[in-house]
Amino acid sequence: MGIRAKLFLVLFSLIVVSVGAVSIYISVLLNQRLTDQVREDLRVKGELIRDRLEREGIAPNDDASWIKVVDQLGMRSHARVSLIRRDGKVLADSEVSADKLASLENHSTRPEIVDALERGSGSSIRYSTTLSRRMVYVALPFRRDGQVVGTVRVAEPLAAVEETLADAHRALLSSVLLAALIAAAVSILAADRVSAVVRSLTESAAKMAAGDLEIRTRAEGSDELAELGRALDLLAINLSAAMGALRKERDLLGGIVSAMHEGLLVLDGDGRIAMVNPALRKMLLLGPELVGKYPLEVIRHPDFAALLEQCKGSSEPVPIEIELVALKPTYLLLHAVRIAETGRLLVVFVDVTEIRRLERIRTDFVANVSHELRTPITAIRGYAETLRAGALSDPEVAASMVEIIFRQSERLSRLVEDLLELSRLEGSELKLSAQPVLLLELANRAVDAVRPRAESKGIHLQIRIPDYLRALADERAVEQVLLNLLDNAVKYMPSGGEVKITAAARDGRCEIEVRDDGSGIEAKHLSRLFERFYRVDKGRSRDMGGTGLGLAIVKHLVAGMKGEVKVVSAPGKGSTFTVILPRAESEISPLAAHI
Amino acid sequence: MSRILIVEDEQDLAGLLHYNLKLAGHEAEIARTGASAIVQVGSFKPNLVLLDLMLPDISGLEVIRMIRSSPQQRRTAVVMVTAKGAESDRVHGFELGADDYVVKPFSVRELLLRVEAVLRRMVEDAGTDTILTGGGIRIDPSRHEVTADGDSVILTPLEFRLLKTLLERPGRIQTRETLLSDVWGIDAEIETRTVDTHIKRLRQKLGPSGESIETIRGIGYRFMEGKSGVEQ
Repeated sequence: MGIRAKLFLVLFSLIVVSVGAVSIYISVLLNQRLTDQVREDLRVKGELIRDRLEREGIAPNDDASWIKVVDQLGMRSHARVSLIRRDGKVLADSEVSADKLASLENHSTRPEIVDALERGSGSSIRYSTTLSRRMVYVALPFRRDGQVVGTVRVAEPLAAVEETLADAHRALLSSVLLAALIAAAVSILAADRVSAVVRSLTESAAKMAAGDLEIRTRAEGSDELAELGRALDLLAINLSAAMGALRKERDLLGGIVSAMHEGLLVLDGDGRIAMVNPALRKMLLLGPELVGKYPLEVIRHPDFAALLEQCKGSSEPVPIEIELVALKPTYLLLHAVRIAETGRLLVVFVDVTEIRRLERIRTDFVANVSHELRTPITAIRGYAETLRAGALSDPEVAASMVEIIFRQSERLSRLVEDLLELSRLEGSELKLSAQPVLLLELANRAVDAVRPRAESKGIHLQIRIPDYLRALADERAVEQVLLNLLDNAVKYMPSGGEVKITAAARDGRCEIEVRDDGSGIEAKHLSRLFERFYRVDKGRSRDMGGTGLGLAIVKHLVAGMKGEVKVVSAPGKGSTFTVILPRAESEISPLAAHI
Repeated sequence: MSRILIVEDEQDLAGLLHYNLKLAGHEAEIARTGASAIVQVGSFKPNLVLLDLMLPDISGLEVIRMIRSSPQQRRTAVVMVTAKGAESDRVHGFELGADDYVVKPFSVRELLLRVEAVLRRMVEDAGTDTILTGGGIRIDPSRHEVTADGDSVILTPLEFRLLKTLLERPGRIQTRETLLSDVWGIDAEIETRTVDTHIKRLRQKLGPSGESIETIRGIGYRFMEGKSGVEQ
């Protein structure tokens, strides 16, 4: 049974019972009053009739006269009048014909008669068998000469009272029914209202429980339900605020975890994967379904297994570096920390491949520099030592030794210069300007510089550059680039070839080509050609006095001027180095550029 | 007078060494690449190889490995010529069985002295015929043979000399510095951990008998007979 039905039942029965009780009380009281009044009226009537009869002076034996008088009195008073002898015999009765008087039963035991004889007055209400209806009887003693000789009884039917009572009962009943109806309506309304409020509160609470904390009961009033509603609202507001704060924190952490560059792996207390961030997925090329797996199913590496083992007992951070070889070798620095409170293991993966690569390049460079410097020094020192130890006295040997010393010291000085140049370029100490420069002029200067060597080898140098073509570049740098390229071409070409230097505007930029018809370069060397100390033919390069840094310097200079350098070559087909530089707008004169 | 192979890609340096070695009375040949060095070790049969570790084709370490793995050439002495920066190469070279090293830029006089020292040690090693035993280990210097508990053990010349030195002085503590000067024939210029690396490898090769070589913490090593429970 719902709260609505319960409330209705209680309210309805309360109203009906109380109205019913009042009705019954009224009915009883009314009955009493009416009866009392009828009895009182009858007694007065009885006293008048008795007094009249006592004064009649009819002989005691004259039954017929008595009967006549009694009938007259009965008619006039609209009541049944009976004259009863002391012994209970009915002498006369206004409602009973004379011939039937004898058959009337003895009235001496009638309660009103008994009371009248004993106390001077008596009354009774009962059903008259004679008249077949409820009657009120009032009896009074009848005296003759001061002697009670019988009783005068007056009776009236209770019909009037009963009719009045019936009327009253009808009215009361209708009022009870009306009350019941109103009660029903009122209690239904009241129960509806209460149950509606309770239902609404219940619904709100259920929604809150389901997670909708934006819902409000909007309870009004000051009753307990409204208070409950307000308490619920407050609960929702507080919960919502707490959830909001938690969500914010979660979003912040989540954002950090997914945005961070380092890989993150979280293992739960059972050693299964609880979380993997996007960076780690990318780093290790991991599949989608990872949570719940064991980490060693995913990352198979003995060092990693050892790391997990090592972390079992301690909460100290354990760093290791592992090398994973998947599609490409990856160096990862791992830091594992056990979070003591939760038993979780946190492993941070840092990809140090690039750092290691740069370190290796640096180490290689240092080793290369060291080797490159050491060789000429060793030669110079060794030959000087040998000369001093006695070779000086052998003129033939001594001359070639001195020649070697001179050559190696030249090489040493070139090397030192190139290294300094390179370090200036790398350290960005050297600021390259971007001004319109006439390419033809710079090419002429570079060609002039290498011409003596070219002529001695019978190499023909050719320039084909439009005299108006200007590049937006640094004059000295462009000259150096062209010089290095021409120098290389002349150096590695067999005698009697041709080196062409051409330039043209293309796609808004200047393309400068240095083409030789020498022996060309094998494809495997091309990608590394611009690396420092990379030599296609080590021995030949050194014998030619090369430092191995010329093209590295070219690359740096060109990059410093926002240009690029490319090489196309094949064995037997010569080599073409192409330098692409930004082109200066033709209408801008060198003078205008300064304004 | 010994046969010496110069492995050096720098023509001027090779020429320098060639001139000076010939002047010292040796027969010398030049190899300019690692590949030709391996070929020439087979044909020229040098007593000693002066080996530059930085070669244009293969690493000098590879050349040492090839020499040491060939039964005929195993006893060829190897003197490494390295740049000072390549410390790890040098240690690795010793582990592979090089006999000595010279750092570039070297003094010709020093290099010649070193070459002579290595050559002299080889002669001494070959000259002592006394068979040494102890702790289950047996060394036959004349045949360059070592057995541990009856099993033949292959040692590099350096390891051989290290073990021989320890066995010659049983029960006496040998400091790392002593070992460096007596076994390597050099001043303690290289880090003393070179000695430790060699001892470690030697122990591994000797198996249970290796326990006879006792570590004296912070000082050096000592050969203790019976340490392995084998009384002789």
